[in-house]
Amino acid sequence: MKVKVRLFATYREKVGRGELEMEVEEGATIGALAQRLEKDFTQLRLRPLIAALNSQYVEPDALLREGDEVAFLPPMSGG
Amino acid sequence: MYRITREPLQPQALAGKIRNETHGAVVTFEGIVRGLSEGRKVLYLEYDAYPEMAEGKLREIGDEIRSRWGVEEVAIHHRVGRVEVGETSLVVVVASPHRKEAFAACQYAVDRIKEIVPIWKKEVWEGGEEWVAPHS
Repeated sequence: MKVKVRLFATYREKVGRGELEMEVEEGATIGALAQRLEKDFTQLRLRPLIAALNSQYVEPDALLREGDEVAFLPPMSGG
Repeated sequence: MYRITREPLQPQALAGKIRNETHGAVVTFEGIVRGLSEGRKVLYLEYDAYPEMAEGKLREIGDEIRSRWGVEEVAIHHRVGRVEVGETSLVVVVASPHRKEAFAACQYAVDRIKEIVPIWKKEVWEGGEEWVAPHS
């Protein structure tokens, strides 16, 4: 199944774009997806792992479903 | 009332929009881009955001300070994209019957924005640039 991945700030620059479509297995977790991304893009380190699933903060064990939007967020520095 | 925008912010206009005669206090906070950061001369900042989620989180913060301090009106605008030194990157306006609640709620809102709203800033100076690590 497919999920949409969004990356921001330093993560976006490391990968070279802010949106990716990833194919993941049924029952995959956010944490597993993060590991996949780190493997595909060796310069990318998603640490500390802060993730949002469809715009809500979730833990790394959250399960993915078809069509989900997953965002990996560097530590925030707004203001 | 909760916006992520690339346009220049207008603090006075925003405060004017939310105040009414029940408010004895309107507190407006403006975050300004500093020209110096850790001894370096900053040229400008570049802000990135996850806008859909960021606007939702700004609303959450607004709802939280309304219920916690009983403030009546809240507006929060955050600018993204390139923001020059001396320009405003953040405006928080809180209006309530009394000043004590308005000050406290506004301060809390600014602190909370830095913790939970997905926005990032990059400092650009002569000869380099860096995404800013969070600090309190």
